[in-house]
Amino acid sequence: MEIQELIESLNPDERAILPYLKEKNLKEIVKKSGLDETRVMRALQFLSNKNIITIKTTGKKTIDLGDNGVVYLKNGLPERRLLDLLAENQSLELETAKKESKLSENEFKAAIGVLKEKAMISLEKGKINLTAKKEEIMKKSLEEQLLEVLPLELENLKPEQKLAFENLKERKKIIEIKQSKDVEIELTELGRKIEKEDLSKIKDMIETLTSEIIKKETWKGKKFRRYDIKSKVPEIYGGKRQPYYYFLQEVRKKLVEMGFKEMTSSTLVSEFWNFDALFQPQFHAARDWSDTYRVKGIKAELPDKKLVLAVKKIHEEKWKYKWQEEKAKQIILIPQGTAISSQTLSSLKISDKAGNFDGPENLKDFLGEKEGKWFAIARTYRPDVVDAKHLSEFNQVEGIILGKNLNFSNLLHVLKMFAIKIANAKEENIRFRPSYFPFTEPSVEMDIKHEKLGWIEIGGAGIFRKEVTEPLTGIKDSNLRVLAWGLGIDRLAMLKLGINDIRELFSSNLEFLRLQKLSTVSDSFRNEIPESARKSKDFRHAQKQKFLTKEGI
Amino acid sequence: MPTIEAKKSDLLKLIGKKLSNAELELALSYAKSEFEGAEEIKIEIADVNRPDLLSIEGIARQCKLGLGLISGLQEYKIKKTNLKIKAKSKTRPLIVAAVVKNLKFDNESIKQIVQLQEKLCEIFGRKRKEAALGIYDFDRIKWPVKYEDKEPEKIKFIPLESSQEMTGKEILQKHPTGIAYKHLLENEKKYPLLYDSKGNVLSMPPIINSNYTGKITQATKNVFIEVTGYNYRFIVPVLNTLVTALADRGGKIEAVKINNFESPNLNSSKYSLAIEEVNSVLGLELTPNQIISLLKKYGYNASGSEKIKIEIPAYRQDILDSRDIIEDITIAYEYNKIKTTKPQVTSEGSESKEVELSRKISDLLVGLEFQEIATPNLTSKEILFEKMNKKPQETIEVENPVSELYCVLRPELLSSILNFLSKNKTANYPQKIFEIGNTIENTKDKLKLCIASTPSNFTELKQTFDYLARMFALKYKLEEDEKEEFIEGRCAKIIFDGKKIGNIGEISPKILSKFNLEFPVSVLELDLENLFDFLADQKPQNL
Repeated sequence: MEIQELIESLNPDERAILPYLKEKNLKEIVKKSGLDETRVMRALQFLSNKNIITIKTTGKKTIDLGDNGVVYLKNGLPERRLLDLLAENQSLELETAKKESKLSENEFKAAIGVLKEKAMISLEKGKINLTAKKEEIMKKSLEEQLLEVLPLELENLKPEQKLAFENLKERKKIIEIKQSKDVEIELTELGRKIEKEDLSKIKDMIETLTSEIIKKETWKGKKFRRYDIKSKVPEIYGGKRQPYYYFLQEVRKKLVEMGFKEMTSSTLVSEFWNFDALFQPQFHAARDWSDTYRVKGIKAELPDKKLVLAVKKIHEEKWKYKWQEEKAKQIILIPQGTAISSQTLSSLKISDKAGNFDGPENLKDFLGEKEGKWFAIARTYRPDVVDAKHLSEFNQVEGIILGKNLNFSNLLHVLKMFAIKIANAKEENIRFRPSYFPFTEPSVEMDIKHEKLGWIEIGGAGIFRKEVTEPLTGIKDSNLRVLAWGLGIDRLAMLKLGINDIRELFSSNLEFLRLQKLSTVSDSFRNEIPESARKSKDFRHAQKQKFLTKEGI
Repeated sequence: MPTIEAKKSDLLKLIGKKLSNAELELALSYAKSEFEGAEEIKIEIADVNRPDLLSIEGIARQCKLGLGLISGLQEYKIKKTNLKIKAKSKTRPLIVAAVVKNLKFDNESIKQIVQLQEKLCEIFGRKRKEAALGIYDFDRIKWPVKYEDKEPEKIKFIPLESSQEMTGKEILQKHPTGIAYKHLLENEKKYPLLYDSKGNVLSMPPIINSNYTGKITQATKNVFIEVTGYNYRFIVPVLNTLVTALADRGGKIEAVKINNFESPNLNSSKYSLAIEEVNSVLGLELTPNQIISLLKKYGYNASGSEKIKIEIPAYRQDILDSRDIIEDITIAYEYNKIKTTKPQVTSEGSESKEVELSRKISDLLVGLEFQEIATPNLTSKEILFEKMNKKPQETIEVENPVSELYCVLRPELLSSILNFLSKNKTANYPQKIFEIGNTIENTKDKLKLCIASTPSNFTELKQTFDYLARMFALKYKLEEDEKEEFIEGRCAKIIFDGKKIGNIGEISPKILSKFNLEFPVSVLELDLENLFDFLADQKPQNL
């Protein structure tokens, strides 16, 4: 920067202290400029940033009495007090000595240690015996001498003082080391040039542009004080979406783009929708105590009789047991998004003639649906102990595609699209594996290859069994099929957000939320994954895609 | 998902081929399984409806088929005998049984058989209720065997893992296994008992075997197996799984006559499958011959053209429908070889009206520098009532909580928000946060908005709400309200369309100190449920 520009960038405080910099001493500058110390320091810092001065903080270490030191100077060090006691008694039981010396446990131990070290006492069978001669006892120890002359500069200690200092340093609060801060100011070459300049002409520069100045146009012909645009400013944070919700919103956007219509879920759902309608027999182990949260004291109403009877019939015919209506009425906290899909399917009026209006008599058919795509981002619940890998509530992304002649090849295509669009995977890094879900056949699981973790599970899917589709749609047509899928969105979000502890998805740490970056689906995976997690298969299976209950028969 | 432990060398010996880890991984995918470990491996089985896959022998069989080492239906020969069981139990009425001879047990195969017995009874047999399995040293049994109910006091034998003779009652009261499973018998007047013609007890199903006959060691050459229960759909698959597993280890199967019928029954069952259905479900164009060879690759016998005649092996009792077989064809074809095709479904995507509204509100609040937060819907009674200084009210409570921290569904967001603030006392101020979250009122879900700011006052929150209302052209009235959680005289209820839809107010110091908060907090809580329809109408003009 030109000298002129530099001068124009000096703020009023900097200008105010400039004449006194020769003093080199902070206190003097404060006194002469009439500014307070904080303002002077800030101005000095700015001047130093502009390379006008150099600031040297010279620190001297001073040693002084600590809290205990003050007391000991008055009452004597613990070893002195014990020594005086022994001088009277020659030999004492440990317990008695402790009691009579009135020293604390720690002080007593320290005193014994010091005196033993100096061979002034010996310990024998629980007794302390004095071994020092009278002259030795009378003489002031190096430590005592040091305490009397404090404070001293550390650099200037004599050898024997240094020894005493080393001994006392280790003990609790007897001495303390103070770091004094002296600021030494030196004008640089540039500074000396500026000092010689006439600063009076810049006094007339505009500091703050006011409305007055603009209106009266008094700025004309004047210069504005230059800012140091490189100087540091305090950090601020703005309002922001919750990072996990933001990610889910991005997923939602992709699904909507792909033609899926969002379903909404309810927290409370009957076992009917979650298990019975999904062809899970009532003796299924997953319906036992531990896998779902059951609600106390209330029962659900079952849907219309026709559907209930159809479900009952198919269970009894295929699973060969007596289906119980009461069991289906149990209310649970929705454990999987598929319980929403079953309700959606039953609510549709499906018709081949949908959209083909042949006259008023087929109006009902015309208004029906023959195909469609639906999805839900559902808050679901599991009785898991909350830890780094488990939550008791989490989110699932699930959906269905309904249509005539939909097939397994179509399903794999849709899954592939999810992997590409939502997990940002390359086509060659996608693989499918046979799997099992009670309500789909065939069933499949999809993995994608993570650079560091290897293959990770991303989703599960399948074609709804006829035993599921037929009662729910009320249509017996083996070509009317429902492709059902679910994505392990929590794990995907963790990888995108660079989170290792699943609890952080619902972080209750405000600073963390303020600093957390927002990630979109097209971001690549963050790399902040610890080595241990990379090797653990457990991590890959953490919060395993819960599209489907797999336990039990 | 069930997991079994095994030795890789034992698995490879059963498969009969050396495989690299990658090859083994692929082979196991035919059995819908994954493995982990070096020599001591853990195998995770996805298909819980396949008891045959709970055995390492069954998994090996499926791998061998997939690798092409064997093909088609595996025949298991059964030798006829004169062995008889007279079955008369009413307590646990059904029994199936078999004898397997010529076995050469080693340490690992015994471990596998014990593990299989346990997995079958626990997972498939529903903790022994539906299927209890006993294995005995055949050479210690004097035939015929009787299966009858006896009075508990009259049952006397030395059970496994005991050196003392015990009565039926005593076993349920004192023996560790008896205690663990006593609920299965304790309400019965008579207990089922299996004993031989010399009067030696074999077992008291479904609790425990006798020490004399019910112990298998490396010296055991021939075994007698029985499964008891109430329903053949449970006990037959268990028996067939075990019998075929032992036969795969070289055992020779022999039949037992139970009253009038022969057991085990390892006959295949028949199924007819239409080719069009296979191709229509898979989206492929497979020829009959391709389908036949795929079926054989999965362990079926198959023949025919238009309609394929299929023989299903006896260990496969999971097949309820054509789709189950079609999946096996798909696995044999290999999922990753399927050419994917885009489904032809016309549909228009859309987000839900709840989400749409939440998104708009969030965007406005973010503009006002509020940070969005997410808190759980499940909360504790302490946060909901004790800290809010309220008497416990009726709420939706779970019957089986894992933790007191997550045992009730919240009817409001305010307590969650205050709890959040209480965890952030050291974070920089001002703290301006909001959540749009789910609540439950009278079993119905309600979406609510809660905004909090600290340090702050009534005016700030009123301004914030007024801004939101103006952005949505929402006409509202404020009226004075009195609520426990707010300072008296500094709480307003928001009236819209004649209904109360929320509150604005300054939190009372009594509540603040319960949450250990030291700065004034002002909040807005708004019920969004009543606003959806109104706001949907307002959409074109305002946003």
